[in-house]
Amino acid sequence: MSSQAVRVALAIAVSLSVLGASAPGLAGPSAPQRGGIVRFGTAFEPARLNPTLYPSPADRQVTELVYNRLLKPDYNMRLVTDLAESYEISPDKLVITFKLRRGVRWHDGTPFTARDVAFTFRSLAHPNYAGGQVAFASAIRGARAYRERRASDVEGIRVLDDHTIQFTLEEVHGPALANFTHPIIPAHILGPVDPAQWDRHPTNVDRPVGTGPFKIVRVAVQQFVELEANPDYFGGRPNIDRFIWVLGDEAALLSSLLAGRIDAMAVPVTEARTVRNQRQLDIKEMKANTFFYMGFNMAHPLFRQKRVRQAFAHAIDRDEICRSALQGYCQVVQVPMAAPMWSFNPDAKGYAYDPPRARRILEELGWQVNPSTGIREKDGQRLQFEMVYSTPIMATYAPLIQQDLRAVGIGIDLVRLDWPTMVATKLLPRTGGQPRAPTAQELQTWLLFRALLLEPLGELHYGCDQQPPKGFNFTQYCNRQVDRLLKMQLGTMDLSERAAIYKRIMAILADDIPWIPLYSSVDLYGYNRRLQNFEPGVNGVTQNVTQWWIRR
Amino acid sequence: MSRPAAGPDAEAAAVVAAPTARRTSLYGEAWRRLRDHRLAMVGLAFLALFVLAAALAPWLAPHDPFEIFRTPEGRIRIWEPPSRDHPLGTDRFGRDVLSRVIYGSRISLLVGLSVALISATIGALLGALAGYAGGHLDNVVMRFTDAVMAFPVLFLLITVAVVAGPSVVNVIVVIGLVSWPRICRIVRAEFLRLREAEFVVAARSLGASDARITVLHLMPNSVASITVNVTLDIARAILLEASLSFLGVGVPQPTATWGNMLHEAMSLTVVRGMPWLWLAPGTCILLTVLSLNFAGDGLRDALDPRTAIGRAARAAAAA
Repeated sequence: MSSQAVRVALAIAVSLSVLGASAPGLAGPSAPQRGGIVRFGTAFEPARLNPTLYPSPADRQVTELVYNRLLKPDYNMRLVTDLAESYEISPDKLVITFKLRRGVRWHDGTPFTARDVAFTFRSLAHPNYAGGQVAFASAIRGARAYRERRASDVEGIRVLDDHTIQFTLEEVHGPALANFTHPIIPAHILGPVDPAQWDRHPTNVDRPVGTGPFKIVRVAVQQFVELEANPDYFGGRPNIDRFIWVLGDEAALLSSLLAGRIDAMAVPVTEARTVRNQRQLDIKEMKANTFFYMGFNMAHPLFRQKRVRQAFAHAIDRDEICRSALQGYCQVVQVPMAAPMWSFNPDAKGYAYDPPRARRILEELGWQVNPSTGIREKDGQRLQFEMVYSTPIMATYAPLIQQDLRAVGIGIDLVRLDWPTMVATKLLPRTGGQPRAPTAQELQTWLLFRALLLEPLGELHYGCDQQPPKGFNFTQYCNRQVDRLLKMQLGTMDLSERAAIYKRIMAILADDIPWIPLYSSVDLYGYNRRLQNFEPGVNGVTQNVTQWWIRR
Repeated sequence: MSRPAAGPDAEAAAVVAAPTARRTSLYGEAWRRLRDHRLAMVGLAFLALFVLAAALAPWLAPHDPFEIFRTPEGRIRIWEPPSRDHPLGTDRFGRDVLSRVIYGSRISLLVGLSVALISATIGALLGALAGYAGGHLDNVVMRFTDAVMAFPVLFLLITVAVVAGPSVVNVIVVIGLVSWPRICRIVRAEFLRLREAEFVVAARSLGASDARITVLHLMPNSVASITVNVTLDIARAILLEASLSFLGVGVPQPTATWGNMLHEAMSLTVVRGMPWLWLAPGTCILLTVLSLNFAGDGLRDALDPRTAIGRAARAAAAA
């Protein structure tokens, strides 16, 4: 077969696997070969290998290979079983019973049982536990009492036998099933250790023990994390022998990718062209669970006016931002939600790019252009605002937004800050050590993104009672109807019902625009064509890692 | 601290002292020597061009350096190769690279001159104080100078940029505050040498005040070495600003500087496929710094009578 034909066959295989995304393990041009090493480049070094302790995206990349959960999201973000074999929800939606897989063993050979599951969720509610993942257990009955030392155990967790576990919830909780996607940790190792000491335990530093497809062999700080295939993995032994996360900065990794020293890495959009120009390399585009937006601080009286916000939205050419700054690797959205989420609403009507209309709105509100500055004024007040942002990708289009707004007479001062400074001085300023909502002087407009996991968590961002310091409603937006709908979707576990409610919420937010949704991002993974069956998923680049193989 | 011996320097000091009486001929002589220095003349010619470009930027630049260009269909002209409209192409925001290079000369000039002014002022004052007063004060000032010289400048600059935020003013102030020790040492050395010179002793015996001696006798005689070092300081400041902006902690976008234009070249795609984005600013930095160094060399040869005397002596010895 000529290389041309191979490429065509590959292209067909890839497009097929995208269409039938739930079955990505296609055979490809030839049968998988066993053996070989995959070297995956990453700029982010893992810091904690115990998945209960403040997992960062860098930590998750690694622990994903080592641990399993009861349920896991598939390529379409629907929950499917992992360590669980099946589960049952009682008619009153308060009791969830999991049947667990049999014959699963921890990496050290100890059998996995329901006690490990009970231990994991009890630990998250433990009074001494401080790892930031309490929310995964808080819906379980008695978790709060246990955490506050009013009870000696979590009432709602019951081990029925070695392979059956039952959870009882405090009340009907819409996102309850998503809580069971938390990784399960080994009771026989961590059980005797006080959770307050977990961060210094070897399982967190360099010897995690899980049930996953790979075991950690070596953690070389600032160099690499090396894993070997788990021959007894219940999901089938991986085709490759070793998986190495190669740490380095982006530029160095990119030249390694070009030179063939690593097999794959996340590639910034600005470098996509270079990778595509290499015959031995290709790029996988993956719709990411992340969206970017421009926020308004409604503490500012002008931003409380919906028409002012509309004028901003009509003035910004989001399609052109997507095409030019992001080289087309993005999807313009009209709602503040990532496109792959079930809560996304593709039909919501937003505000099209229409500068004349933006000008008309501002004229009608009485804002007149001052010919000497080009900026609109009214009663001695100028339409001049600050826009803060932090990441390099935002720096590629912040000037475009500035120019678009200037074209309709709105002046923008761009302020780029590093992320900790932006949080400390703009989003969550403090008075006497207490975080509080930002004033109109401190924060006017900003660029930010939301990286979602499984749940849209709209209540934390738009709830009337979720203004800082309680939640993340920096916008200080409050709409009673949105509030009611948010509560409504929390009261049902039926995902299609919740999705329908969320679509209504999204339609209201698209119209009300407390945030101007910019785009839902697309992640790019550059990889060497010798790496086969590489299909990154929304919830992790190693989603089908056991099916990867190296062609030799 | 003992006073430095006047002996070996006395002759040279006398030679320096004598021409001050006919200053015009000293500078006339210097200009003649400078004219013969071919590299220095080439450097000065380029510097004249550079200053002219900075001064006339609004008339020379074909476009507004901040304007984002679009096609008739409204698409931004990002990363376009050189064309008739844009002789050096466009950058990743669709802005004209040539206009930005021309406007960039203003920042380089501003940074170079302001830093030189700050460092020359501080350096000359402290150097004069140390050299003329001597003793404990000299010791204190010189140890302080050593301390400042020992600072890892780039790290200091990056730290300040991170804490105080990047801006042109911050860059100028910080570079200015760390680059005066060289001038300080040179002025001190000159003062140490000159204060025992006969014409100074004469002035002192006539009852001239310390201030009068410093301002009217010592300073004018140190101007030559200060000038040479200021030239080199300008070059160093331009290079430092470019390095900082290249690292992304100097002058922030959208202001065009040669350094932050080179920042774009951190991308492999740009380095490999878009030379128009980095060739021009890189060449400008190179040529400007090189010219300043040539000019500084020329000035040193032209203004320092000792090198001239040395040359004459060597010529005599050869003959």
